[in-house]
Formats: sequence, C-alpha cells, structure tokens
Amino acid sequence: MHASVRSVRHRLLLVVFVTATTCTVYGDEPLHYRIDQAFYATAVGPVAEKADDLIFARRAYLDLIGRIPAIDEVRAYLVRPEENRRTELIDQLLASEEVSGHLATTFDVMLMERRGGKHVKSEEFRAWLKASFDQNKPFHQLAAELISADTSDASRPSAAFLLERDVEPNLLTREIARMFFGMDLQCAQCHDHPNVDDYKQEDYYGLYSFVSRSSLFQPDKKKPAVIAEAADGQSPFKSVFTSREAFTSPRMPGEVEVTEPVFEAGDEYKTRPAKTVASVPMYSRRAKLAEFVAGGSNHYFRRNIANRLWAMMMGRGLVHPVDMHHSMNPPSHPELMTLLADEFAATNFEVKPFLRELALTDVYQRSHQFTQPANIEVNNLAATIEQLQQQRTTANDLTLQKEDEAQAALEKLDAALATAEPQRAALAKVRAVATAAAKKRDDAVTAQQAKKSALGARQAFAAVVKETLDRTSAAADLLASPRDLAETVAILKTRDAGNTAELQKLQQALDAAVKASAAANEVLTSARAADTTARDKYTPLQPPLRQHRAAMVKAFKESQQAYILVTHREHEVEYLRNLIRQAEAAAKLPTTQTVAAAIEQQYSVAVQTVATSEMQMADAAKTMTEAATKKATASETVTKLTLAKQQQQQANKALAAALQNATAAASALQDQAVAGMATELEKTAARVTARIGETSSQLDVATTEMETAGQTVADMQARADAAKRQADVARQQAAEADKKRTELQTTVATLMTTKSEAEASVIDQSTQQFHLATVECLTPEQLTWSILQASGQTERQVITELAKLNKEKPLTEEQKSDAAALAQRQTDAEAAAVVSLTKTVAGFVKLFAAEQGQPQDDFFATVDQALLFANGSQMRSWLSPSGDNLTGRLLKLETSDQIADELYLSTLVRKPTTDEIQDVSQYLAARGDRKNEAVQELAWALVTSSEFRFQY
Amino acid sequence: MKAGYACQSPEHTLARRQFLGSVAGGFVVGGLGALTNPAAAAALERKQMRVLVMFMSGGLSQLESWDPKPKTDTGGPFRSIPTAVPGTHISELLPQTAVHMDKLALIRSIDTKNGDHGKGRYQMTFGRNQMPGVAYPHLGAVCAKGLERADNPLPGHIKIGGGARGTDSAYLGPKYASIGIDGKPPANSMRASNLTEDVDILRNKFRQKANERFAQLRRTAETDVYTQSFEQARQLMERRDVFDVEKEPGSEKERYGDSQLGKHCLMARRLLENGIPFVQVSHSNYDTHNENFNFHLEQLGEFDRAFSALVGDLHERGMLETTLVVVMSEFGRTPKINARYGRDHWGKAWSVCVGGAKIQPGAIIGATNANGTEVSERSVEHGDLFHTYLSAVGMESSGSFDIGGRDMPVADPSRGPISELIS
Repeated sequence: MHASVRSVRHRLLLVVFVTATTCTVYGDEPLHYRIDQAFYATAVGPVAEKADDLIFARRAYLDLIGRIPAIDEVRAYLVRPEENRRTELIDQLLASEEVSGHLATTFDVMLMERRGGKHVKSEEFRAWLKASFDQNKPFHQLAAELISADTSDASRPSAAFLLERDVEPNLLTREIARMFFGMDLQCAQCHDHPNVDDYKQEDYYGLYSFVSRSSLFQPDKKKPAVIAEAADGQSPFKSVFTSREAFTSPRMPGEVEVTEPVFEAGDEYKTRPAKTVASVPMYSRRAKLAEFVAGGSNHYFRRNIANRLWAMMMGRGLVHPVDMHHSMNPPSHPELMTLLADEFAATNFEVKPFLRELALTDVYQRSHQFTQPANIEVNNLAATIEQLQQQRTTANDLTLQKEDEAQAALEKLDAALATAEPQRAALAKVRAVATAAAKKRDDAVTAQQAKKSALGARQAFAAVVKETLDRTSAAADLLASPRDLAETVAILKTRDAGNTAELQKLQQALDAAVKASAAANEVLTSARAADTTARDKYTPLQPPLRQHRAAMVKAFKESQQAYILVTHREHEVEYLRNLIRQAEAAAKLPTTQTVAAAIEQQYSVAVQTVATSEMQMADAAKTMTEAATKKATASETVTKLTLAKQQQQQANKALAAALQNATAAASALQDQAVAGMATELEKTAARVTARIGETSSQLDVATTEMETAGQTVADMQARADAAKRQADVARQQAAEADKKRTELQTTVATLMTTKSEAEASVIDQSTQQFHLATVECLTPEQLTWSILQASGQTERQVITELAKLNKEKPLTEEQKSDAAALAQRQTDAEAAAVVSLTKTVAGFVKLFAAEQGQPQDDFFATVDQALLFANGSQMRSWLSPSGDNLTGRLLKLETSDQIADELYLSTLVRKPTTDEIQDVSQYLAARGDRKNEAVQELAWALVTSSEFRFQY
Repeated sequence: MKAGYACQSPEHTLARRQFLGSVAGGFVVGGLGALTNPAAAAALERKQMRVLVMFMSGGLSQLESWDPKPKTDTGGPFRSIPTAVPGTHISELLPQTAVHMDKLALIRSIDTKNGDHGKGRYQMTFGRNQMPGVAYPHLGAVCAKGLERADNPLPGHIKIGGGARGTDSAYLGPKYASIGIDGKPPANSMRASNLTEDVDILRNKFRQKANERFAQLRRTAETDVYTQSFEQARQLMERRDVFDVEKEPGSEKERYGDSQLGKHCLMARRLLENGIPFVQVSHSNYDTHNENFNFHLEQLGEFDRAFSALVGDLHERGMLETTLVVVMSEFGRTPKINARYGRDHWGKAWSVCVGGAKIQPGAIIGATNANGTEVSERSVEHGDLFHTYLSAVGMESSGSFDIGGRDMPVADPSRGPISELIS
C-alpha cells in the first residue's frame, strides 16, 4: 500500500431517509448498480473510501477462488489498464478452474459444518458440489437435490446432507431451518422460542412433518446405509410451558399447510416396509419439501441464500448471524435485503453471476480503514432521528395490531382444533384398523398366492406323472414281456394315487386361503368403508383449521415484517445517537481543553504566589529575629547606662554636699588644707559631671538603638502578617484552581472516553452497516492455500506432479511441440497438485477449524496454532529456499529494495512502504552474511503477521 | 421444570420488548464468549481454582470402593474398614485412601438411569443427557473457560494419556478443547535446533512491527487475540518442562507407584501446581463382567497408592482448598453378582468420591438401602453433580456463557448443585 493510497478521504453522506414502504424504481440498471443505489439511499454518516487496487485484488482472489494471488498474477494484474482492471479480474476469476472448487469447499463447510465421513466421504460430497457449480446448477435445485436425495449410487454423494445427520428428524428440522431458511428453530422444538417471538412451535412442526417419516435404514451394517420413508405418522406437539397441544400438516415457513393426497389403507406404498427393504411411500413428504424448495418461491428461502452469499463476499450478512433471521435481528438494510432476495430468485438462483454483481458493488470494494469524520452536522442527524422515531412508532402500532390479529386467529385455530379432535382421533383409530386389515389382507393374498403356486406346481408334476403312467402302461400293453415295466408302472401308479390325494389337500388349502383372503378383503373393505366414513366426517372440519392457521401465519408474518422496521429504526437511532455523541464529544473536547489549560495556568500562578509569600514571610521572620536580638542587647545597655548615670548623679550630689561643707569649713577655718581639699572635690565633681554627660549621651545612643530595633520588629511583624495573608489568599486560590483543574481533568477524560467509546461503536456499527469493510479471519482453507501459494509450495508441488506425469506417461515428440498438449499436461499437473495438497490443507483444518456440527465462522487463535507457526517443521520446510520458491527467489535478489518488493508482493499482496523497505534493509544488515536465514525469517514474519491472517 | 429441553432455557418470561431493552439496541459483538455475570467473573479472580478428575473407565464398583455392603447377598468377599472419619467405612481395597477420608466426601445416592458406556461417560463429563445434533462442552472445557487466567499461557483443559486436541468444547471453541498429554511437552513447543533464541526474538520483532502497522489502520478484538496467541506460545515454550514428568525425582515416582497411573497422577500434580484449571486422569479398566473381585483387587491397589499420594501431596502443599478432586465413572456395577463372579453395568444406585475446594470434608451425601440395590435417600443425578463440581470451585453454575450474543447456560438449568455439600 503506497502512502498516497493509504491517505484517507471520507465522504459524509447525510441523506434523508427513504421511508421503508416507499419502493424506488431502479429500472434496468445492472444489479450491482441497484445494490449501491439502495445502499446510498439510506446511508447516513461516514462511508469509507474505495479500497486500493491491490487490496481489492487480494480480497477478490480470497473470496472467489480461496487463496491469495501468486506474484505473477499480481504483476499481470498491475499492468492491466486501470479503468477495467477490477471487472476483468472478477470475470477472470469466475471463469477460472478454481472457482467451483472454492465454492464447493465453502458450501460444504456452510451446509455440513465439518460433518462427513460416516456414510459419505467429504471429498465425494465436495466433488458433487464442485460438479454442480461447474454446471452452474441453480441453488434452489441444488438444495432440492440435497433434501430429496435417495441413496442410489448416482445421488449418494448428495445424500450426505441427510445421511451425515443420521436422517434424525429433529436434527434435520433444525438444520434445514438453519441452512435453507435462515432460522435457528432449536428452542421451538419444545415450546415457542422464549426470546425470539417469531420462532413458533407451529413452524418447527410444520417443517418437522416433512422429514419425520424419513429414517436411516441399515439392516446390514456391512452394507451402506440407505434412507427409508414411512407412509404414515403424524406429528402432534405440546408446549412444555403453556401445554398447548396441536398438530399440523407439513407447512413451509410463512406459508399454508400442504394438501396431501389420500390413499386407501394398503395402497400407500410403492415399496412396502420389510425387514431388509427400505420402504418407499406413494406420496413422499420429503420429496414434497424438495419440490417446494425447487419452486424457489418461499420468502425465507430466498432471503436466507441471498444473505449467505452476501456474507460470503462481505464478511458478514445483512442479517447477522446468518441463521437468525427474525424481527428482533433486522437486516442492516431491509430494502436491500428484499432487493437481493428477489433478484437472486429472478436470476434463477445462479450463484456465480450473483457473486459477480456483488463483487462489482461499491460496498464490496470499500476500504477497511476508518478515520473519524472532521465534522458532523448534529442538527441534521437530530431531524433524521425524529423521522426514524416516527417511522418506528407507526411500524410498532402495525406490529401490535397484527399481533392481536394473529392471537385472535390462534384462538380460533385452537377452538377449531378442539372441535375437530374427536373426529381426528376417531379417524386415526379407524385408519389404524384399516391399515392393520390391509396388512392382513395383503398377507392373506400372499398366502393364497403361495398356496396357488404350490397347487400349480403339484398339478404340473401330477400331469407329468399321469402322462408317464399312461404312456408306460400303453407301452407295457404293447410289449411282449410287460414284466419289465411292471415295477415302473406300479411306482407310477402309487405316485399318481398320491398326487390325487395331495392335489386334493392342496386344493383344500387353496380354497381355505381364498376364503381367508376373501374374508380379509371383506374385513378390509368394511374397514376402508369405516375409514371413508370417518374421513368424511373429519374432512369438512379441516378447511376452517387450515383457514385459521393460514390467517394466523399471515398475521404473524405481517407483524414480523412490521417489527423488522421497528428494530431496524431503533438500531439506526442508536447509531445516529452514537454519531452525535461522538461529534459532540469531539466538538466539546477542544474548548474544554482550552479552559482546562487556563485553569492550569491560574493554578500554577497561585501556587507560585503561595511560594513567594511564604518566602517573604520567612525573610521577615528572620529580620525580625535579628532586630529583636538587637533590641534586647540595646535595652540591656540602656538599663546598665541608666543605672551608671544614677550612681554618677548620686555621687555628684554627695560630692556637691561635700564640697559645700568643705568650702564652708575652709572659709570659716581659713584652712589651707581644707581649701585644697575643696578644690580637689570641685575638680572631682567636675569630672563626674563630665562623665554623667558621657553616660547620658551613651544612653541616648543606646535608647535610640533600642527604639530602632523595636520599630524593626514591629515592621517585620507587619510584613510577615501581610505575607501570611497573601499566602492564605493564594493558597485558597490554588485550592480552588486545583478543584477546578481536577474537575476539568475529569471532564476531559470523560469526554475522551465518550468520544472513543462512541468512535468504537461507530466503527462497529459502520462495519455492521457496510460503511466500512469488515476485518475477518481467513477460513482454515483460505489460510492454508494462501500460505502454500505465498511460500511457493503450490508451485513446487506442480513441478513435482509434472515430473511424475512425464515419467509415467511421457509425451511423444509430436505432443512436445503441441501447445495444446503441453497446456493439458500443465493443467493435469495442477489438478494433481491440488489433490495432494488437499491432504496438507486437511491437517491445518483440524487445528484451525471449529468442531464438527458447530458454527464455523467464529475466530479462534489457540496456542497450538501459534506453536505450529512458530516451530512446525512443515512451515520451516516450505520457507526454506529451494529453486524458485519464495525464499529461493529472495535469495537471488541483490538489493534490499528488490527483496522487500518481492517479499511484500508475494505475501501481503502489496508493495512495501519506504519504512518497510528500510526495515527489511536493516534486518538484512543485522543478519550480516546470514542472508539465507534472514530471508526465511522475514518471510516467516510476514506469513504469520495479522495482515496475512485476516481478510480486510 | 425438570425436562431436558434442547435449548436449556430456564426462564421463558422475557417478552420481546423487555429483551430488546436489555441488549440496548441489539448490537452485539460476537465471537468471543465471556461470563455474562461480571460479579461471578470477579469472584473467580480471587484464587486460582482447579479441578482434578480421576475417571475410572469402564465403571468402578461402588460396592468394592465407596459404598461397601459386607455380609449381605450383594456384598462380595471384601470387608469394610474404618476411615479417618469416625463412622465412615469404605472398602478394604482402599486402605491408604481411607486415611485421607477426612479431606474427602462421598455421594452415595447417584441414579443416572443408564447402563451404556458412551451415554454414561457423556452424562458424567458433560452433565447432561446426550441429544442428537446438540453439542455441549465437556466439564473440562467449562472449567478451562470459567477458571481461565489471562496471565497463564498453559492450556486449560488437559487429558493425561491422550494425544491430539479433543473435540469436546462445542460452542466454547477449540481454545477450551482438551489437549492430550502423554508425559511429554506439547507438539511444536521446542524451537528448531538451527534457530537461536536471539534470532527468534529478532524475527518476532519484525512480525510484531508488521502487526503494529496493520493495527494502526484497523484494530479488532480478533487481531488482538491473534497476536496474543504468539506471546502465549512463547511463554508456553519457556515453561514446557511443566509437561515433562521425567523432571520429577525418582523418590516421587516410587511414592506414586511404578504404574502408568502413578506416573499420570504425578504428572497431574505437576500440572495442577502450575495453575492448569482442569486435569483429567483415566484409569482402565473397571468393566468387570467377569472376575469382578480379582480385577478390583488388582486395579484398586494401583489406584489406592497413586490417588492417596496425590491427595496427600495436594493437602500438604495447601492446594486442596483450591483444588476439587472427583473420582467418577460412567456408572457403577450391579449389586447382583453374576455367574462369572462379575458385576454388570448399573446406573441406578452408585457413588462418586469428591473432595477439596469448597466441598465439606468428611461429608456423606445420600445412602443406598441395606444391600445397595436402591437409593434410599437424597437421590441425585449427573446434572446435579455437574452443578456441584462447578459450585465447588466458585463458579455460578446457574449462570450463562455469552456466546456471540447468545446466552448458553453453564450447566443444565433444570438441575442444581448439592448445596449442603458446598461450604
């Protein structure tokens, strides 16, 4: 896939719904065109782009011939003109030798679910299917042959459908209902289906009655089993829940009861039942079912097969699962389902032309890649939803009305059944008597015939004896010596006499037998008369029964069809709601994300503020502590200085007093010494005064210091308080932002979940509605044939077979130059290769397929499968280089570009991307000179990749 | 409601509209079944529960094993012996098992109304009567799915002694089908000799890269399952020794007995220890129409040694509380002894031994009359037993599997577990 091709474009289709009841006339356009028209008419929402040419080719090869293309085929396809490439490929594949074989395999798996081998070998059944597809046998004919198969040599393979299920009537009823009418009626065996209103016990027994008289017949275990059918046997049924009892004649789903021919008791068989003989009735119910199927007009029959073929190509049915056609499981496109069913029937149920039309549709050619649409107009969708809901309501009203009608008809039917019951029971009794009388009569007639032929034989013998006696006697009379014959004549006479007696006895026995026979006949005649009388009483009661049942079935069918629209519209609404949900989530997501980002910003700002404020608070606190220390120290100094000043002042006072006294004393005494002392005192006082001044100024300084520090403490306290307030505010802001942030995170997460869930649902629903190609696993057969093809093992086997043929039956010189003869040889070798590789495929099927009798379309990836891939010797040998097989070719290539190209085209049927080429190149480089191993490892990795394992 | 309807639907009251409501528009993704009851699934998350079935092929005589009737007209020559549970006696042919009866329980009142081997085997291992054209999963498949662990790469349903993959998982799919193991690791679990581990990793990386590219375009549950299976294969390759019974020391083999059964029981222990949810061992052959007593003497000798060693080991290793042990047959054997000293097929009154997991140790359920010809109390059948086994390992036996949008009852909805046996 080139990068350019992988880029995805989408169309957004918003089309107003066509009401389901409106029939659009499409004219004489080819079917594929009409299919697409029907599709687009109701398509709402994104539709994937067309898949690229190589994806289409891979798809077509796998679906039409069951394998991926060989690299030569891929290259041949790529050189074709682009405009007709796809159509030409479809035609080429449908005309190929392989298509019928692939269809035979597909239908075998579909119809038999891996049953086979008990009575008919699977390969014989497949060969029969292949021959049928080679002849383009219409499907309704094929189905009829499967149902009506007898076990003569010519039709034995087709009897596989019946024989491999041991002709067990309940199993056959279920399987015929599933395979040919698309309904899994299993539960309806014992009661109306608990969860599916459409599946009625009446339907089950209608079908059951067609096959209940058939059985597996194998008196001699050494001889092949055959199928016998009885001429009588009714199938009354009783619901284990409601105890409703009823009986029904054979009835096709959705149709009226069969009117059956009446034979006189004793005349019902072509071949009467006996110990070693399989009975064949004059009127076969099973053949009648086949006849109906061959008529191809049944509503469910048509829809079932059209849907199964659709599923074969598209990976899933319009109705899915394909055996659950009922109104609670509506088709994804009801109108398209009807179109397909009608058209397949109109084109005589021919499979290959129908597949061609399917392959040509846009639906088939759609990509599996999905990108969400950029914009969806929600308002338009809302309007469409409104419209759908109205349609739903209308359809629902109709459903309820029809259900009531059906219920009323059912009540009438039950009343009529009750009324008819005595007559029916009486008839059954009388009929049993008549049947017994017929058997007695037949036995008597047989006995009479035996007696008659015994008498005849004896009469012939007696005549011969008599004649011999007469002739011998005459001869004796004529002869000279009669003694010679006397003994003979005596013996003959004894015999003759004995004969007479014996003949008398035999005659008497015959007479008795004739009488007995006549008596038995008389008994039979009167029994038949009684039968007729009883029937005459019962017959007039039947039309009302049939009429009520027909009315009931019709009303049920109508309610079912109405209800299909109810559920379909509900599914559509669900899908559109998902689209809206997805679109809304997608739209809301960016704005919500922007808001979330803003809140995130606010939050981080607030958090930052808190941090800053807290830092400021810390700074202030630190400064405050320092100032407080300073203040304390200053305060201490002030105290100290104040004290010192006080002492100094007191000292000064004392000195002053002392001086005054000294001065007074000195002037009074005129004492020189005292005067000197006073002078000293005066000096001292002056010094103290000076010191006081010093202390005072020191005190002033200290006091200022103290006051300043006090101020700082107060300032810092204020600053810390402010920072705290700021932090508190910021903290609250942060908390609020955080709350908002968390809320928004949740909102975004919810939106993203909603969006991705809606996206996943939209992808699922788009796939279910074929807006997008399905991704489905390859079937076990597709997988194995594709591995054989990719690895080159198929080609190797052809070469082996060719050599074998050339050795066993060498071509003459003349043939060797004859292109036709050479081509024939090649074809023979290819056919022989398919036969021998089929055994290999069977080995893989054992490991990769579901159990027999189980649905075969579920995917299982088990450990033992992975182990086989990882370590199995077979895979290893296929991938080891030999001649021109895949790894052999890779080994011969020079550049990693070439190797990558060959590798990807051969295995994944596409060209490698630039990245992939680079990966291959790196891998080869990493493995150095081990190129031989490296190419095997690369081939292994791609063959086991999921891209190889799946159909997409 | 006791009838065995083909559809096995227990309740039929769902109306169309209610049903539709419950599936929300009806878009059901199919293919991969799951337990529909999330609560039930959550309950199983707690412990890895396991089941061991000892299948006594041919039909073990209840009179020579779990329900002896010595000194009666039907009792045969063997005595009964006391067991670890006061008052409970079993046949003297099981002396070592008798020691472990305090860990086991007996159901002595089974009436399966069948004397056919094939039908009996089906009844006992599928939990229902066989019906044409309807396939149910084997007990092993149900356990493998119900007790599945996402992180355990080993197969969940193993039959010791077999070869290939069985076809016994019906709608549960091949993933849960039995794998036959004969004492050797599974097929293809060994890397080719010319491929080194490093190179294997290298090529797998290339494969994974290719898968990732594909998944970018479209990813589905199925593509995931496919790519995961390779990872599981790798893990299994790393643990392939689990399957190799030769890794067990000789002394262990001696303890289990030098018989095939001994080897198989040892194998079973290895597998259960490694978290495999279901292991079945078979012992052949108990179909003793002739010489019933000689055959039972010989066969049960082998069984007693191997089985008691296994139960003892499970107990000692603390595994018995998470491992259900069942000893079953297709049916029992007639009380009447025939002219060839044999006993014939008998489904009317016979026994099964169970133990471990949530089974009440030492319990005795039901009884037969004095000479074992009839069930005298608490009659049970195969459907009840099937429910009981599942309940014993914590599965909701009345629940359903969701198979592609269809509910498939785990066990016959018309039956139920023997609740008094479950703790």
